[in-house]
Amino acid sequence: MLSSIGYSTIMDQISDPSDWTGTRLPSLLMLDSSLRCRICKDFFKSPFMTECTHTFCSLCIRKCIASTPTSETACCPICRAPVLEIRLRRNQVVEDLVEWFENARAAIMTTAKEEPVVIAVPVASTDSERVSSSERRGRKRRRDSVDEEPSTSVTPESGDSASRRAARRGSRKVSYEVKLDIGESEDEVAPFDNGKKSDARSSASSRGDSSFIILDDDGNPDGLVPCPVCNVVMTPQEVQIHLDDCFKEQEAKESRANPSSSSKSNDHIRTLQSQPLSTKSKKPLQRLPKLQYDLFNDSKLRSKLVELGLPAYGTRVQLQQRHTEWVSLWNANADSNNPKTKKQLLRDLNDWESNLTKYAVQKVSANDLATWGRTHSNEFDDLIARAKKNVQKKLHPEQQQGEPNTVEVNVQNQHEGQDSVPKELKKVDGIDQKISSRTDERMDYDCDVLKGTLITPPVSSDAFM
Amino acid sequence: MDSQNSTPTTFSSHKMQDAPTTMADSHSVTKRLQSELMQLMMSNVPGISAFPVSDSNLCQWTGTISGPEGTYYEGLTYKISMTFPPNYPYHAPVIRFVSPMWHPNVDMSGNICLDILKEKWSAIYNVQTILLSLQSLLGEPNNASPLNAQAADLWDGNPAEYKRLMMTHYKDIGEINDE
Repeated sequence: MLSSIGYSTIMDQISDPSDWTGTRLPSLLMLDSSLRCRICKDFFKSPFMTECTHTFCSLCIRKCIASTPTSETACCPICRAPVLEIRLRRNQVVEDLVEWFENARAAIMTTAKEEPVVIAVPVASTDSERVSSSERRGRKRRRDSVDEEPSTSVTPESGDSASRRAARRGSRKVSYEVKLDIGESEDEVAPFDNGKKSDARSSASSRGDSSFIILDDDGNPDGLVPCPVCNVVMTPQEVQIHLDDCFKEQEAKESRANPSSSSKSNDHIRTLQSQPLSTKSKKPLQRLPKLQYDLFNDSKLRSKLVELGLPAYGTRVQLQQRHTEWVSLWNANADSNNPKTKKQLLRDLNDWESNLTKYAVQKVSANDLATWGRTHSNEFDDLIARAKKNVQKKLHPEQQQGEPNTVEVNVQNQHEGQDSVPKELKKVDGIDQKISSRTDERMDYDCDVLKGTLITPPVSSDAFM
Repeated sequence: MDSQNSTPTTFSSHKMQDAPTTMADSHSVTKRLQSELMQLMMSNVPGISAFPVSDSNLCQWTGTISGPEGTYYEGLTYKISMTFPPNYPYHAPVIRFVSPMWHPNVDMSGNICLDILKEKWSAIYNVQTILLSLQSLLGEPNNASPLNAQAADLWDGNPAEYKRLMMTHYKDIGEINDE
C-alpha cells in the first residue's frame, strides 16, 4: 500500500538539512538546520526574535500567537516562556545570514557532491610522518597566531615558538603554506576581529598589498610581525600599541582623500545594514491591530471586514478566523523586506480558507467517530443524566424543563466538569472508559446532546467553537 | 446529528465552491508535512515509521510504533492513524491507535491521553517527536490520570495479569491491514 506512492518528485523540490548527509560537507547540516524556522521547517522569512531569544519567521510566530486561545497567554513554542506580540524584535543578522546562505546553497551543494579531488601538497621535508601529523597541527596553530597577533595580546612565548616552527620547516614549503594561510584566514579573520582592526586588515588586503602577504610570521624568523596597515615590521607587543595610532592616521588620510567612504569592505557592510531601513522608510506599511471580538457584534464585524477589503460572508466564527488570519498575514507581510501586494495576500487568505473548508468537508465524511457516536447516543444520554445527578445531587432531572437559570448553571458545570465527571463514573466498566476520552469529537458530541435536550443558553454557541 | 462545529463549515463550503479556488502548492500545511516526511525518511529512527495514507491527501498519515525494550510491549508493533488539521502545526494533530491498545492512557477506541497532544502542544513538535513520545508513553504511562483504570491498577500491582490482559487485546499489524 505504502510503497506504491511516488513522492520522489515532491521530495526533490523540498530542501532539507539532511541534504548534506552523504556529501563531502556533512557538517553543513547543522548550519543549514540552524537557519531554519522550527515551526515551518523552512529557511527564516523575516525572522523575529522573542524575549526568550528564540527566533521564528514573522508569520509563524504571529500565527502561533493568534492561535492561542484568548483565555491563555501565548507562549514560546520552544521554551514556553510567555510571548507578547508587541515585544517581538526583528533579527536582522539572521535574515542576512539566511539570504546569503540560500544564495550560496546550491553552489556549495554541487561542490560538496562532486568527487573529492586530492590536491598534491608540495612537501619538501623527507620526514613525511612528522609533516602529516605535526605539520597539520602547526599550520592550524600558525594560522591562529596570524589572526590573533594584530588584535589580541600575544604572549612572548608565541614569538619563540613561531621561530622554532619556522626553523623546522624547509624554505620551499614555507612559501607555499604562507600563501595558503592567507587565503584561508581571509574569511575567518573578519567576523572575529573587533571592529577597527578588522577594518584595518581588510583595507590592507583589499588594497592588494602584496608585501603584507609575504612578510608573515614565517617570513620573519625572529618572531617579528608587520603592521597590517603600514607594513612596518616590529614585535607583536609593539604592534598592539602601534596599530591604533597607525590606523587612525591611515583613516584620516583616506577620509581626506575620499570623504564619502573609508574602505570598500566597510561600504559593503554599511549597504547591507541600511538596506531594510531604506525600504522601510520608503514603504511604511501600517500594522493592523488585533480586535477584541467580544466588543463587536456580527454586523460591526462584517463592516470591519468590508473596510479591510475582505469577504464578509459566513458565520461569526468564520469572520473571526478570517480576520485573525488576515491580521497575521498582513503584519508579517509588513515585516518583509519584499512585501507582497494586497492582491497576493488576499489570494493567500483565500488559499488558507479553502484549505480549511476542504478539510472540514473531509472530516465530516470520513469521521467514523461521528457514526460511532450516533449509534451510541442513548448510552451517552444515560451517562450524562447520571453525571448531572452526581454533579448536582440536589437537582432532579425534571428541572430541565423549567428554571432556565439553573439549567444554565447545569450546562456550565457539565462542561467545566469534563474532567471530573468521568472520574466519578470510573467504577462502571466498558462504556465509561469511552466517555472519559477527552477528544474533540467527544466535546462536539456533548454539545449536541445538550443542544438537543435543553434550550441552548447563550454561552454555548461561542464557547465551543 | 450534525456536530455543532461542522454546520457552519459545510454551509461555507457551498460558498467557497462557487469561488474559483486555487490551491497553492506551497501551502504551509502541505509544505511542512512534506518536509516532515523527508526528515522522517532521512533520519530513519528505529522502532517508528509513518507515511501518508494516499497521494492526494497529505493530511492523513498512518504510522507504526514498536514497543520499547524492557516494557510490557517489547516486540509488539502497533498501528496508529494521524490526522493533521488545516491549521497544523499551530494545532495538534489527532492521533489514534488503530491497533487495539491496552494501556493506562489509551481508551478502547484508541484515543490517547497525552498532554503534548492536547494543551501542551507546541508548534515545534512534529511527527517524529510525537511518535517518540508515544513510544516512551508505552513504557512510562501516566497512571495518575488513566483512561483505562484497570490497566493503571495492574501496571504496578500485577505485572503478570497486566501482560496477560494486554496480550488478549493485542492484534498483529498484519491482521489489521487485512481488515
